[in-house]
Amino acid sequence: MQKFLMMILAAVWCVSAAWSQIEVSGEGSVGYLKSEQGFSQYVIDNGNPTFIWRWDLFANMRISDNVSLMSNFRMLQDEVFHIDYFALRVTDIGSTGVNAQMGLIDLPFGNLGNRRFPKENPFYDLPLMNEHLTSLCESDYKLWVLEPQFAVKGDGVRLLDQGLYDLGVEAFGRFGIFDCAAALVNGMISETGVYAPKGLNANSGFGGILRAAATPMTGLTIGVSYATGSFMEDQHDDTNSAIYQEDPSEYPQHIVMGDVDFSVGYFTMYAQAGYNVWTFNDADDDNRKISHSDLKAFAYSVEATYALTPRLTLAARAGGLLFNTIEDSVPTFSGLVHYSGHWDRDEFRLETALNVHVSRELLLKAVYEWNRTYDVSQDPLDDVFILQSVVSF
Amino acid sequence: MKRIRKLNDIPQRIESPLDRQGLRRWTVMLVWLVSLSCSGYGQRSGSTGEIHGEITIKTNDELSDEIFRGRMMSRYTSDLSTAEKSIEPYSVSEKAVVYIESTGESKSYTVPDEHPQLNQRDLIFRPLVLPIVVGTTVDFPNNDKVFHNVFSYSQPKEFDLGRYPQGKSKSVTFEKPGVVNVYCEIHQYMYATILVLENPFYAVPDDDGVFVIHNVPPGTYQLSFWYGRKKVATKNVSVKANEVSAVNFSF
Repeated sequence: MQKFLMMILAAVWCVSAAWSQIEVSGEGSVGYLKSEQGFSQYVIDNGNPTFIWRWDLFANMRISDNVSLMSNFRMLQDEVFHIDYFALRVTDIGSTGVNAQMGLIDLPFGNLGNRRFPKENPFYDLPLMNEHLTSLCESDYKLWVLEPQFAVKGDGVRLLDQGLYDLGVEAFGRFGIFDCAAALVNGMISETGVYAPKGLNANSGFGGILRAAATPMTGLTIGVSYATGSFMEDQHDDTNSAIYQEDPSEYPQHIVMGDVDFSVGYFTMYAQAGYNVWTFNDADDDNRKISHSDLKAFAYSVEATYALTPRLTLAARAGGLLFNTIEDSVPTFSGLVHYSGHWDRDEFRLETALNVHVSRELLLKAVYEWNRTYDVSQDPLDDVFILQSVVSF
Repeated sequence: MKRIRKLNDIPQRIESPLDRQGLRRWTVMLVWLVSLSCSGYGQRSGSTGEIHGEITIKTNDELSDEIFRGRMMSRYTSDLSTAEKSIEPYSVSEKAVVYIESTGESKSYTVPDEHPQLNQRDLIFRPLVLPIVVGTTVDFPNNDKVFHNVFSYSQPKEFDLGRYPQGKSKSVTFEKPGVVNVYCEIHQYMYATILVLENPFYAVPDDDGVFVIHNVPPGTYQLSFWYGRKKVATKNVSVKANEVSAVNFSF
């Protein structure tokens, strides 16, 4: 059904492209990926060498001078069809310089921008803070790190939820050297509403996001973003009755992030650093108080590119996640065992990439990811090598 | 209908070489003629012809539409205000060129001292098509408040100018003839063509589509019409000394 829908949409957009007010463009990428054969969330396909592909379609329709309908569609080798972005955008409302968009929007948090897409992203993955699955369970007040079988794997929420899209409304604008944005969305920055049942709001609150950035000189932008809201969904069983007494709105997430873009000549640099608190004090995990302190994380990412020649670009990115220490008692067959330590494993990732522009439309990327996990007896074998070719149209 | 117009009659009268003063005059004239023929420019109108014509545009200009649409809808690079959205569309003189493909001679022509410019202004390139002679240096001034990164992977000249701010300009010299497609790495919809021509026998039509190519040596040539992204027509034209040949194009 999804494939059929995708084909229909593609056909409609392509036919509509004949109308000059519609712009259809996109990217397609194919590649080869091989990760080491360890036990970690970064290991892909159990370490088997595998081919991969991805397809992005951007379809934007200009309704009038100030009104546009914009959309992104994405599909990967798992053939699951994603609509990442579907927003009605109104620009320069009342000649005030204020713009607004509503629908499935790209969240105004950090400086990811066009690097969401393979052609603009010199690497394969997004920054580690957008990719790493923490130990905080995404559907329950539970920490996987306290479950021995998940001690390393991690299967919970991300700090930043990948490309950062959610259903909501945003107002934004540029005023002199300042860019400002405010958004209200169904989900939260680490658990966007796109996973919620029926795509609707999973709890009684909204996530709020604020962003301000300044461009004091061409090539330098300094921004700060803040988000807060409930990150967990309402706890209901199949009869739609509350099974816990927990109210998600009592456990909001707060995250603040600073970012810097700098570029000059053949050099570009993007840096982000953020501090996050998932309020978790006395949350009830199966009637067991699992934590007596909030869950905190510090994340950073710095990436730089340098164009060696017109066709050759070198890129490197370093990113990390640091988690705070909690105290808890873990039930085992031999009784309660005291746990004291980080609530997730600290992570560090170094990515290096060589980008070759075969033509303006065709980019070849060779990427190597060094992944390092701390607080474990042995760092898992989970480095990844990727060869990827990307075409844009 | 072909219009033929007589140019000036050949004015000079050569005196007898036996006359001392006449001999000196003859020598001076010979040196002058040789130097002119080497430069390729300033050939006496008496020994060259002109090509006059007019282009008529009937087809919708999809390339300009594409560029302006991309400019309006660029999601992460420009949320333009109403005032910024309103810019002049490309005029005919910014996107059309009529030129002689080759004169059949492998000679170099003098390049202009003044560098032609490919401007980055209002988040587009202007003009859309820039014709130059081999050896010409082109300036790429940035007149926008934001960075641009002009580059080309075209065979005649690969270059990447990097990012530079408003008020700065960088230059590139084009030493091989051919078509150079120019882009901006930051604003993907930005596009322009530099036509690096073997000879200076080209013309940019005025906004009414009228063009004149001066000082064309007599001969039969292929006259091409470039519009927007590509060459859209070619016609044979015979040029005779002191005459005007008329060629019209429609697209």
